[in-house]
Amino acid sequence: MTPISENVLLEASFLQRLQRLQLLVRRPLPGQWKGEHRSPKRGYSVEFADFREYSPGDDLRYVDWKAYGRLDRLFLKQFVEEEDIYVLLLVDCSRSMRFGQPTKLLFALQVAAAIGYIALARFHRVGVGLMADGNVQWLRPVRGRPSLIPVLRFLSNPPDARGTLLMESARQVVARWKHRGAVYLLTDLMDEQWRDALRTLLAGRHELILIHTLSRAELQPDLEGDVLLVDSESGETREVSLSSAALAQYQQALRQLCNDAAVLCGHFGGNYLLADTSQSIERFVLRELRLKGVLA
Amino acid sequence: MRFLAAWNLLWFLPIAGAIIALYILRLRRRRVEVPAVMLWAQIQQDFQANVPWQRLRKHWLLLVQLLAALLLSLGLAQPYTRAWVYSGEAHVLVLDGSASMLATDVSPNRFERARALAQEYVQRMPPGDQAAIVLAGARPRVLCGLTVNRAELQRALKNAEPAETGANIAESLTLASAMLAPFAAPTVEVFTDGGFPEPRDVDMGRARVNYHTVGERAENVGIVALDLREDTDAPGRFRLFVAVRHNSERERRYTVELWRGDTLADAQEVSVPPNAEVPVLFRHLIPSDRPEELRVQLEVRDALACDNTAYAVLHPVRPLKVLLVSKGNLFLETALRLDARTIVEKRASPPPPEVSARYDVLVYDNIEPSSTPNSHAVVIGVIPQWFPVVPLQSVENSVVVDWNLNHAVMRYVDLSSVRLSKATPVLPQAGTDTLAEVSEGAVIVSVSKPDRRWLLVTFDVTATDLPLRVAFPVMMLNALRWLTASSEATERTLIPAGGLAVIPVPGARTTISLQLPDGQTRELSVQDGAAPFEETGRTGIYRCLETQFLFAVNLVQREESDLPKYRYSAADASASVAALRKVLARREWWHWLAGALLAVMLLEWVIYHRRW
Repeated sequence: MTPISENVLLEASFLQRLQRLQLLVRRPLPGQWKGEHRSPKRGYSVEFADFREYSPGDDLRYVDWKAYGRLDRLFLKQFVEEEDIYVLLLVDCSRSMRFGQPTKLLFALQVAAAIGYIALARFHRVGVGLMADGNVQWLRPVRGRPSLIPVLRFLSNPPDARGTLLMESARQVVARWKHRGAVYLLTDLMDEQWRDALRTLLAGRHELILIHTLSRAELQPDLEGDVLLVDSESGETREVSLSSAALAQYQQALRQLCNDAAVLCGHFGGNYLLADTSQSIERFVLRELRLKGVLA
Repeated sequence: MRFLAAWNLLWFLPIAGAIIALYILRLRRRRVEVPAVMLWAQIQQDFQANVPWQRLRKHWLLLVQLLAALLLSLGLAQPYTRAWVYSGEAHVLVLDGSASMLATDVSPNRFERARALAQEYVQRMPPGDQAAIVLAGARPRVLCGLTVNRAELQRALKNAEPAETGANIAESLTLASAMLAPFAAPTVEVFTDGGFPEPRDVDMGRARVNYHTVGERAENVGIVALDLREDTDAPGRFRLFVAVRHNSERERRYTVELWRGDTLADAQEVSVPPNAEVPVLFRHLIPSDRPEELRVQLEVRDALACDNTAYAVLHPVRPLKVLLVSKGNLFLETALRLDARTIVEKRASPPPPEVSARYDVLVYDNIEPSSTPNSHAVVIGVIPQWFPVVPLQSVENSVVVDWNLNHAVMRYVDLSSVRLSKATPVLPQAGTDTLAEVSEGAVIVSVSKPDRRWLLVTFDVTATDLPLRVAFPVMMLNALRWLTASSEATERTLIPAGGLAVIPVPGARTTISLQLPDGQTRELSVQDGAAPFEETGRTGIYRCLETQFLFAVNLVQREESDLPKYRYSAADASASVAALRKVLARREWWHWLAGALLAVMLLEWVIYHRRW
């Protein structure tokens, strides 16, 4: 596939507006270095978390001397630890993602780049996985704003794939990505095994944010009459005669797909967003992602 | 509603069956690539239709095509109803396109007025009637055949153009009569100014002729005759004769100008009595070394402009070499030498071919040519075997009873009471012209071939009193001119408007370009050394661009210049309409069905492309 210009993914003016945003991750996730996200670990922030009995060797600065005066026992005050988190951006690069105007793939890469920039700006660790034909191309986790350039460069060269094979890709992700963290999956779910793939990803106790990327032609197809539908990935054909009733059934099937995905994500504490690629990337990131509680 | 061919309705069954079968067996599908067919797979159970003989669903295209098939079958069955309609009659509209119709006594001119009358007639024609348009010029021309299509008739009338020619109404009526022969009560509507002799001998059959006349009584003067001849008193010089005629009730004076090219060469003032014509003669016209345009012009503004100018072409002259083969004939020799341009040489025996080729004319006086002459020849007193005549028995003391004054040789020749003491009359064969004859047969015969001309005088002129008459030198002078085609050349270059011009083309050219007076050019094909041309509807000088041959076309017709007030009673406009009657006739509907079929096909096309 022709490389995408890095400037196309993120324009300078858009970057400035992203600086004010931060990722909203519901569950505490362990990090590696100090950061801005609540960690399940106890640490030394200003936010009180719990007491525990003093053990020899503990730092005497955190002994609760008032409790010792009342109870005559030594208790140690524990505080919430704030760490960075691991952010994984998974982008479906299958041929079905190359539909729409702009293409769903470009839209997904732009969203991934925007989320990646926000994460890097908040000193989170950002890894990228581009899924194609059951394989995942990886960018190892990077940290800090200067790492935006390699992230954008990696996103600008998506592989030229035919299918997705979401299940195979999900297995590779689980096997390779050992860090619990926030996983942003950008895909059109045009794979028969999408449910198994999502369950596999959610089983890793990641916070999964599924951004379901669909074009306007998929949301509201303008097809009529007798057509021969050709699957862009498999080449499979289906002769169908379309009428308003048939289109209504298609809409019903699409709604069912979206609903199933949302329920599955919600069941495992994840988040689901439907992205119409006909809207501008600025509107989607600055408005839709904030309304859905993905960004703040 | 009834059907002329009801069994054709059965066509609907196979046609509709074929259409339905095609829909069932194979639907034409548009190929559309989609990201994935995953979601579409759920609806194919109900809506996929690629399996043969699947349930036929409601389909607009199918319905429209079935409707088209039904209309087609109905059209083939030729439905009709019975209705009272006008009995369709036929009319031929003869539009006078002659020069007098260009007269501007009515605005803008008579032809436009006649055209308007004809257009109104077509407009008022009852439904069902058909008509044809004939333009009457020098030759009648059918502008539009018999049709009921009013638009076509109006278009033909709109495109009609008058010419500066006479009108051959008799031929036009004959043509109209032939066109109307199959009809019961047809009419011929003549739109004219009446400037022609009443056609009495035309058999119109059942057709009735109605005249629709245009024009007022208008004063007009014109040149009604023109001739250019060599001046007999001054050899090598020419005379131009014109006749000026007017139809005024008062005597008037006119200035007649002669222009040679762009130079005014002469002018004469003439006084023309009421309703009369006067001759005007321009003399001493000396030809130059190339053909020259002559233009005679009347300085006057009147109702008809095209007859105020006449044209002629003055050709160069050259000496004429004549060989007289005779044992002595003073009369003949003197007659031949009358023309100063003629160089006469004598010999007593027939010349060999190489000698005869040096002369323009060979004159054999009582000596038979040794062989067929390969040049122009006059044979007197003997009848050669090669001459296409059959000699009859000799007669004595006979008298010339008739001679052809229209022939160039016999022009101004009076042979009345010429006595022939001995003559051998002949029976002319094909290809000959009889110029003079006695009661037993022809005595003077001519033969005209493309490259040579022969004249045969079957009697010995010395055995008659002809040499003592003035007719003899005139005849011999005419004969020399005719033989050398000098007078013929003049005739060939003076063409009446609408007449046939034959353009001599020497060499091996196959086409020539002819420039018309208005500057347009025409490509003409050449056959046998000549190119015929008959589009001489405009007066003026016509020029062959390759050979520089010129000829002049002139109106010179008294009937046209007189601009006569119409002679015929105006037609009763209601007469033809009153003759109409209603009859119970069959009205067919197939053309409406054809129109509906076309509309349905258009609808089908729209549906196909919009994918309803």
